[in-house]
Amino acid sequence: MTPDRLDQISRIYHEALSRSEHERDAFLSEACGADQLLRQEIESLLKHDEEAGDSLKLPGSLLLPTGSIS
Amino acid sequence: MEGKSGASHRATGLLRAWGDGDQAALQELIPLVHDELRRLARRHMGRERAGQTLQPTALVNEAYLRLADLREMRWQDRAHFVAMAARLMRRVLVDIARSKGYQKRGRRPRQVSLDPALAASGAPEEDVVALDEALTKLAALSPRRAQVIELKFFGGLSLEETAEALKVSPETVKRDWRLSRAWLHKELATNRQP
Repeated sequence: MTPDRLDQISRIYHEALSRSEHERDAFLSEACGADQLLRQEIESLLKHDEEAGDSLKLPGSLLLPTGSIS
Repeated sequence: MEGKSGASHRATGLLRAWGDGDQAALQELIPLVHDELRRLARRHMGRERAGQTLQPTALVNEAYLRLADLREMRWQDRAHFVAMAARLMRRVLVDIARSKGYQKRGRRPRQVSLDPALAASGAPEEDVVALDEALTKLAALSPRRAQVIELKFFGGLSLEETAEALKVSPETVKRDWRLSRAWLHKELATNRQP
């Protein structure tokens, strides 16, 4: 992936998020055109957005490593 | 009242100078803050039993309270301090994880993971080293988006403070956060596969 590609993904991704699930499919078809990889990437991110939910919500806390592991 | 140490006095002056645009002051400040964070993290780890949680944002805040003389600080100083300390905090945590013998890949301990509430919520566990690697990858693509995660995750800055520290609009921070979060989640999930 390149920085430009990520920017392109970001634009379409946020646009897709602002649409209802019902509209998304048609929107992605139009926005991604024949670029199937782009569409896959965005669909995957949308899926992960749902899964991540607030799981990276802040403030984060870290479980301490045990001393016994080496 | 606990008297302010010499390090604190020095840090306060450096923080002010840096805020006024003195980049040399920043170079002097970084090792002071790094040492303080490492000391706090190690002390915390020595005190707590394994399996308990360590909050990076709390340590960054504690370092600020210890190093900065609040009477002399301006409101912008905290955002600037945290912007720098968040990166150092990330490094300290990775160093600690690695010093415990954790390698880059393959020997990822489940013990170094995010809050157990994540596991309870069904979300996959993440660890410091994996998160660090994913963030480095994201930074190569988009330094700003990686910084948003760093500031919010390791520094605990609010949306507005993050926007202030990065000199972008809160709306940009919000969008960066949402995309980066999904991107990291995807990256960590992919890497987790053996």
